[in-house]
Amino acid sequence: MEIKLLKETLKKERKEQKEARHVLEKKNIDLLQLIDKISLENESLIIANRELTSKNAENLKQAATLAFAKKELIFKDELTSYQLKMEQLALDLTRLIETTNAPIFGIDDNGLVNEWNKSSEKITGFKKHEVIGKKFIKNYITKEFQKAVKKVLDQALIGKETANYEFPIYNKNGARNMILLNSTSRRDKKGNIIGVLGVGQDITQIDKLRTTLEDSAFRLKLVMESLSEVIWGRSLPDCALQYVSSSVVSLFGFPVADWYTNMHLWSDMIHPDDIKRVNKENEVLFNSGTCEMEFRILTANKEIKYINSKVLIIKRTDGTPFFMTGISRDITEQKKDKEQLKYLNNTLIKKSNKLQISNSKLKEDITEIHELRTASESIAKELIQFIDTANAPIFGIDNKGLVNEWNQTSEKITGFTKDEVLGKDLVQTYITKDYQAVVKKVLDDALLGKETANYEFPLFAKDGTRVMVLLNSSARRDVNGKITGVLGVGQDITQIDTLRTASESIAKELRQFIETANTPIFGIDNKGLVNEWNQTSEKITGFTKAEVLGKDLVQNYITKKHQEAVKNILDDALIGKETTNYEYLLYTKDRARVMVLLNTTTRRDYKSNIIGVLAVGQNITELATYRNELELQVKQRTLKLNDALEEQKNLTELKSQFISSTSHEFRTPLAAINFAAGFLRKYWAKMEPIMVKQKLKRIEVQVLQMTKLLDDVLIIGKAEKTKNNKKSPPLNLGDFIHEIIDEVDDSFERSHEIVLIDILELKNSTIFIDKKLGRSIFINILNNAIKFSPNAKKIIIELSSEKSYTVVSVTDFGIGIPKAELKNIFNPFTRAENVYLINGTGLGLSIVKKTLNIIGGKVTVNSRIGHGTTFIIKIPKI
Amino acid sequence: MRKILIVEDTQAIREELFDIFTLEGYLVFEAENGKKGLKIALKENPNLIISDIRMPEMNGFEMFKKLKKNDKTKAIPLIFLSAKGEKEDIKTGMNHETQDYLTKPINVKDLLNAVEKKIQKKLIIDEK
Repeated sequence: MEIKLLKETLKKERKEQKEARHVLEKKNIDLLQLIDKISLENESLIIANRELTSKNAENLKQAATLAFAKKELIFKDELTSYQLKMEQLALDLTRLIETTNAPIFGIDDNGLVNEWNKSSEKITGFKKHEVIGKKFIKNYITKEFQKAVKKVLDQALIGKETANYEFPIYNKNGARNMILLNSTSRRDKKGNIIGVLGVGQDITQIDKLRTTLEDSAFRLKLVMESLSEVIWGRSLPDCALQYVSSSVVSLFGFPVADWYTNMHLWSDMIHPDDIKRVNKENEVLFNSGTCEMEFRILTANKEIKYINSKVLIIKRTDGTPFFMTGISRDITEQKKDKEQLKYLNNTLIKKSNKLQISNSKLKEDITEIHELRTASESIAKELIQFIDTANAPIFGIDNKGLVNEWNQTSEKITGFTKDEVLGKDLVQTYITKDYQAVVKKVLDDALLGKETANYEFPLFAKDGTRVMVLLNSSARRDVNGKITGVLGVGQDITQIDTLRTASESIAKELRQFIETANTPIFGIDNKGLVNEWNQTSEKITGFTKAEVLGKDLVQNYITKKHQEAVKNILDDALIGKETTNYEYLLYTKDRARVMVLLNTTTRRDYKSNIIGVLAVGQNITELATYRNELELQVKQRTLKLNDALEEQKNLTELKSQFISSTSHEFRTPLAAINFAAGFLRKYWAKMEPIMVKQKLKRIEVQVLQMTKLLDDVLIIGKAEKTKNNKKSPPLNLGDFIHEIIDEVDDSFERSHEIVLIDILELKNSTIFIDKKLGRSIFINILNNAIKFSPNAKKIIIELSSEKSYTVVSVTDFGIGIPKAELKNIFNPFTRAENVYLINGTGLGLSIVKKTLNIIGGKVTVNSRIGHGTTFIIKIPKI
Repeated sequence: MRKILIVEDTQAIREELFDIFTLEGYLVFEAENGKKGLKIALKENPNLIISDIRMPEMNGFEMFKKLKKNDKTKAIPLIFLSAKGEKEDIKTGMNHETQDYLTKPINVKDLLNAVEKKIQKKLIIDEK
């Protein structure tokens, strides 16, 4: 029931729902219809609006058009009046162009003429109608200017204007006209260039004038240049040079260019002496406006020239100077001629003056001569009187040698009277035979004008005795100075002569004594030159008297060492200080030296002036030699003694050193023994038997080492002992060497091959050496060779011979000896650094060296580290 | 174990010293000259050095100076074991105490005494 009820309710509800839906659908449709209606209405409204708007715009447009038309009307009015004005202006301009007397022409942008004014017609002869529309450049411009003019016009056509361009134009008759052109671009209303307007100026006349001017200037220049005068001009007030003719070069020597660049060149060239004057003249010039001056200049070649210069100042109308011009010329030649003339004139005047003076002098001279003659005549008289009465014998001969004067004293001395003598030949008659030649020479000399003073002259007296006259001869001359004879003034010296003869004989004896004395005697003059040299001197030195005379004694004959001392002695003697017993050395001719004991004596002349030195010597060469030898011997002995002393000292030192080193060397094995023994004592309880054995063995080795050391020391002692016992028994070299090789081979169990090289077969030769010492030398050397070449297999012994030595060299190929150690290896206990691992006492080589020293032999060593060593032993042959 | 360095060029002596100090319980180093001795001293820093004086390459005296210059080795006690004569020279030159020098030949007992004393002295200084 319930369900039924439910169903029914549901049915009811569904029905209600259906109805409601219906109502809703219906309402919806109504709404849609309403919307459609509204939108339709809206659309029509929009259209209406649009129409309204467009209508409005049209109205506005119409209003604007109206306003514009109004404005245009006003503008057109203004334009018309402006245009009118412009046209009037253009008309005026055209008229101006036509009537102006400057040629004006125009071209369009194609270069065709479109303007041609009256003036252009007049100048060119071409009428306007002929020209218009023609090509301007091609027809009216001269060929050579066409390009340039085209450029000017083209420039104008792009707006660049040209001012004052000169170019020529042809006129109808073919004559050329010169035009000065200013071009202007021609523009249209919008400012576009449509052509060129050229405003010219006919300068044909000016151009012609200019050409003429240039022409005449050129001609003037030619004239100026051809003149030898220098023409110049300077602007004022700056004084700058404007022109100068080229003759300035030949006149002043400086190139033209210099004159323009150097303003002061002109004033610099003026001769310094003339500068003041020229400056004064310049003042005159500026005051009066003109001047002429003469002055000197120094040209570029430092030549002096005279210059005449005329200068003119040109003034402006207001009186200010603006130019200075001048002409200068060379007047040197004229000046010179003038000078010459002046000089000639002067000389003439001087000459005439001189003539006058000499004329008056002549007159004076004549008077004087008169006076002189009178005086000389009286003197002559007095002289003759004097000659006659003089107490000296005076005699004269004529130029033939005949006596023509014989005074009273001559008469008295000779016993011949004047009458007897006159006219006789003087030499032939009155001169002793042995003197005739000499006297004749003296007199002949006098006749030639050579006068002789104090000539001893022997005459015969009437009684046959000889008269000695000391004569002074002089030539006798006539008034013309010609020699007419000889006048002899004598002095009777017969008494003096006798005395002198006696003293000469004493001198002779003395000389004889000097010459023959058995001591060397020699003398020197006060210049040190030898003037005495006796026979003993000759004998001792070997130089003869002739060789030595005139030579410098000290320089030539005294040993260098003594020169100064001997010179001092001789110089002393030359001032009077005499020396006794001076020893010095002379050279002999064979350069042996002679010892001389010297005593010097000063030598004086009769007025007791010192004139030299006389030396008396004693040859002590032998004595000196003996003495020298003795001295030498003493010296040598002393040296030997010193050497021996030194050696003894060294030996003692060496010995004490050796003892000290030896004791040191013994300590090392002793220490080892002591350590080993101490070890045994301390640890024997815990020691293995093998260890005990080892220690004991070490002790034995050390004892052996000590024994060897002791042996070596003993050998050295023995070598020392044999030093004084030089005689050694002879040994056969071959046997000796082989014995040693065998011994070494045994002790080293033939570790090395020992090779003996004996090219000279010396094994049969004999050496003298103590066998034990010899053994110690070679055993040591060979031991070393083997010990120090542990890695080599060979030792070489080579026998050779030198003059006084038998040479044995031993070479090994072992470790070598360092260079630094080489010098020490022969010293006792020296062991090189590289051998401390090899046993040795350090005594071996010192034994070798010592032993060889004792027998007079040598040992040397060559070694290269790492390559081996060679010991060379030299044993003396005797 | 105490270390001891023997510097000695003579092989026989070196071997004996080695045997003695080994048996005394030291660790023993050997050098045959001063140069090698210096190297080992630097490396091993031993408690004591026994050195000869006259040796090739570098002598004991030179080695001693170098040891004293180096901070690492300057405190190591050193005894010279030398032959007579050398000792006199060095003593005057270096102004050292007598106990620093032993003269060859020396007894094993004396040697060991000297070494022991030296080491004790060093230990006392170190403790201070």
